[in-house]
Parts: sequence; C-alpha cells; structure tokens
Amino acid sequence: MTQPRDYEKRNRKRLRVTRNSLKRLRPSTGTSLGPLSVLPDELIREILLRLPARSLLRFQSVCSSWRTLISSSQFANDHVRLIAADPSFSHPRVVYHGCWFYRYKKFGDFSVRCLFENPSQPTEVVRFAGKSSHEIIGSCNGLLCLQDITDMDNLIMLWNPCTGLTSQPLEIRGSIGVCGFGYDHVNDEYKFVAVIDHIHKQEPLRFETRIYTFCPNSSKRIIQDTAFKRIIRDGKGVFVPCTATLNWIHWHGLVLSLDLVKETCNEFSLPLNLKAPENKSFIFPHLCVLKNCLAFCCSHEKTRWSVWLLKEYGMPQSWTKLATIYCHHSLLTGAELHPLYIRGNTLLMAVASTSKIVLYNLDDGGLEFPLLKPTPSDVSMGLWFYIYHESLVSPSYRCLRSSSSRIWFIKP
Amino acid sequence: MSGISDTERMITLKTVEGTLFDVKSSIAKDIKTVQAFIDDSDDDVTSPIPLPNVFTRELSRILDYLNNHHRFRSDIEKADEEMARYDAEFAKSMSHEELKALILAANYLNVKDLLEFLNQTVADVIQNKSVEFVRNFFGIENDYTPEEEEKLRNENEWAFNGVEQD
Repeated sequence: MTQPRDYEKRNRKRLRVTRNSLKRLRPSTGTSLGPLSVLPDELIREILLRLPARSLLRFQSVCSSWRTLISSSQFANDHVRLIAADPSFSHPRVVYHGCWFYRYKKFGDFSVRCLFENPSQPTEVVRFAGKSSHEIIGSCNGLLCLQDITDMDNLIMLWNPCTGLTSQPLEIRGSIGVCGFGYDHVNDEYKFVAVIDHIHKQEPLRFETRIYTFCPNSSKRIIQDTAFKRIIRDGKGVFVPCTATLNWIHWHGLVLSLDLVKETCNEFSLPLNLKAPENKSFIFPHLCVLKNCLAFCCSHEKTRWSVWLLKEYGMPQSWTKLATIYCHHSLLTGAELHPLYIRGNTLLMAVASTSKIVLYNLDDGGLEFPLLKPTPSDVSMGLWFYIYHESLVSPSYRCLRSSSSRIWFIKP
Repeated sequence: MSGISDTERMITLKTVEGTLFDVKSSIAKDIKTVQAFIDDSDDDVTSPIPLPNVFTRELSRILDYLNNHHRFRSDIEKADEEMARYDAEFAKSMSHEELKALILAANYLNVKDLLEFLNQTVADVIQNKSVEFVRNFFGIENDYTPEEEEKLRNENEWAFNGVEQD
C-alpha cells in the first residue's frame, strides 16, 4: 500500500491557476466578496472523488496535475472505496457476452441508470471487440475477470471496461471447472479460484482447488476441501463485496462460502431446504448479489420465482424474502431468472433465460421488458450478463503489465 | 440536558466585515473551528469570536443551513423529505462563484456535513460537462500542447460521449 501513496506524492504538483480568471470572476457588488475563490488541492481531490469514473477519464484532459492525480492508484483505490461505502456514488453498468458455443468475440455494455430511467426507450449498447473469445468469470471493483476460451490454454486476465485496459494473463494448467473471482481487501489482492481437473492424463480423474493471486509469477495455493466437488450448475462463484467471500450452491442445498482472506471454506443453509420432499418443486437455484448482500433466487412450480436476501452475511436466520415474481406469458415458464440489480426498494432488474431483460416493480408487481439498441439479435439465447461498477482501478495490478490492445471499443 | 431551550447560551461570531452573528451553542457545536476555539478558552467566551477568513454572506448562509438542519432533525416525521427539498433549493440559490466561496468558508470553519454536501453539489454540476467548462469553473490553465491534448482525448474517446453543452 505504501508504494502507490508515495507515487502520488511524488507526482502531485500544485494545481495551476490563472490570476486573470480570478479577477474576471470577482463579484461586482463590492460587498462580501470572496477575493480568493480558488479551491486548494485537497478540496479538489474531495470533489473529484465524487465523480463517476468516466467523467474522471475525460477530466484527465483538464491539466497535467489533474491527470497525475486521477491516474494514481491511491486515488483509484479511494474512489472505489467510496463507491462501495455509498451505492449512490456507484455507476452500475451491465456487460454481456455470448456463451462459448458461439465463439463470440464481442461484448455488449449498457448503463443501468439509462435503462431504469427510461425503460420504454431502447437503451444504447456500447460494444467491445476482443482479439479472441472470452468468457466472463466475475466482476468486482470495476474489474472483470475473463477467461480466454479460444484454445485449450487457460488464460485468465483482468479487464477494466471503463479505462479499456487489460492485464497480462495468468496461465493456468489443467481444465477449469468451478471457478470464481474476488478481492481480498485485507491483503489488497485480487484472487482467482478454480477447481482444476485432469491434471495428469494417466492418473484417474482428480480435482484440485487452487487459489491464484493476480501478480507476476503468481503462486498458487491448494485448498484441501472436498466440498468443491459438490458444486452444482455452471459453478461461477458469486463474490459478495465487503465480505471477501466467494459463494456457490452445492448438491446438499447449502451455500459453500470461501473466505478469500483466510482461504478457508464454510457452509450455511439456504432460505429453504432444497433436499426436503415438500420443496421438490423449487428448481433452478441461483445465487447473486443485490444491495451488496448475497441473494438467492429459484423457480417454484413453474409459475413464479422467489427472491431472498441474506441481510447479515453467514447468518442463515437473516434470509429475508424480497419478492415473489409471477411468470409472464412472454417468458419461458419454469425457466431460470437471474436477478442483476435493485434500485431503491422498488425496481428489480433481472435476466430471463431467453436473454430477455425484465424490470419488476416490487410495489405493484408490474413487469416491463426494456429493449437494447442495437438488439443483441445475433445470439438471442445464451447471453451471460454481469453487473459491474465503473472504476479507475488498474488491471495492471501489482506490476502486471497492461495493454489496451486485447479488447477495444467499437466506434458506433 | 443541554437541549434547545430559551436559556441556551449564545455565542457571538464576527465576520471579516465586522458583522456580528449570535449563534446558539448547540449550532456552534457543528462549526468545529469555533467549537475548538471555545474548548481552548479557559473562561466562558463572552466577547465575539473573530473569523478572519469568513465573509458575512458565507457565514449567514452556513448558519441558515445549520439552523434549518437542526430544525428538520427535531421533526423526525418529515425530516428526510423536507431536508432534501431545502438542500436542493440551497444549492440552486448560489452562483458557481458563490458556491466555491462557501466551500472555502465551510472548509475553514470545518462544517463537515455541509462541506460534503457542497462538494457533491460541485461534482453534480461538473460531471457531464466538458473539459473547457471545468477549466473555467476552477480557474485552471490548460498546460497541454494541442498534440498532447488530442492524444489524451483519443485514448479515452468514449468518455467524451454524451457531454452536455456548456
């Protein structure tokens, strides 16, 4: 942590101010005039910390000292911390990609705020193209963790869609099954977790759970926990901010939680016992994050979805029912629903299995189906959607080299 | 109890222009610079406390803000709604230059809530504005060459979409 702070100190210059502009701005009335309305650096920094990452990128052009400030890692860290502490500062966006089958090299990206504020108008999608096909593993602090799925080498890298930079990839031997990405705030490290199988072709099938840290010559640690074998479904862990945990559902109907700081596992129950005979009609269990809490959604009797929030992390008694969403005829009955984001206490955005975006009003039960422009029509099925919060955090973390040539913005 | 009462101790503040303001001690508590001055004095402060960096216009605005916020907080029912409405009006009532002057005064007097609110107000004003607007707003000189500026703009091209007209 000391390194970035020193870096910033060294590079911070006094902000330049023109005397002429001051004279011009002086009030003409003569009474109670403020002769020196020049804000000191500390105040300017405070103001800039409250701006969205995208405005900050633009304001690097204001002057060179602003650029030095905005591009320092200390500033990026403080900015991301402020976003985490107060969701009203956050600028959530959704990024999506096609599933591996389509070898889809493009990403779509849109603003959650635009979609909420004007659901009847199609929301504009920004597109990115990659050098190769990628799958998103997870997001945190404005960084997306991507797996290059072009060939059998497992390359894992970080991408900040806001700054456009990607990190040098981590190379992982063996085939990746269950995996996850998260941030260990105690050690200030981004970590990638994967269950690797087929380590040696001659030997019988073996599983190994590994944790990698994003840094050059990343070392791996092996976790001895058999619980990872029992994880169901696509197996991408859900990172819960502030808890430094990755979460999966396993066969026994429990949440498997991996603490990224201690690198140990824990289990706790879901709001309902999926193994009980009376709960057989609950299908497609799914974990996600809503309001910075772990959330659980599943389909019930093919007619409705239930969404719960875990108000206090790790305390199963704090599971609270958030909503029951009745299936609409335009959605596949009995299919999956993946909640993505909740605004205020009323509007829930989710994605149905047909890749259709759903806005659900918790107060009146109303459903809306906002559209995107251009429509991701080339692959209507099998899109994966992730929420991320725009930040300036550099993917070139801990001296990993970064580049802007692997994934680029497609001009509209 | 040191709650608000008719007999509450009053403190007198004196601005650069010499204007005197009587302030309830419960309000003065939120003005950390003044509170620190009172805490440092051995005796009761009876003479006006001089504020050599604060002008009448700014002090009167700060006191207006603090008085209103105290009032809202005492009426829990409508507090949030009314406070939000008041804050919006308060922010709108100032020119950009007045806003900056008030930030400096709030910073000097160390009125934390107000300073945070004003910083957010400035952030809201500039967030969708152009680079030129921001330079003017803060009185900052552009020290880039046209080539450097062009290069930087190209690097962050998509951050320049959707900028409001100044």
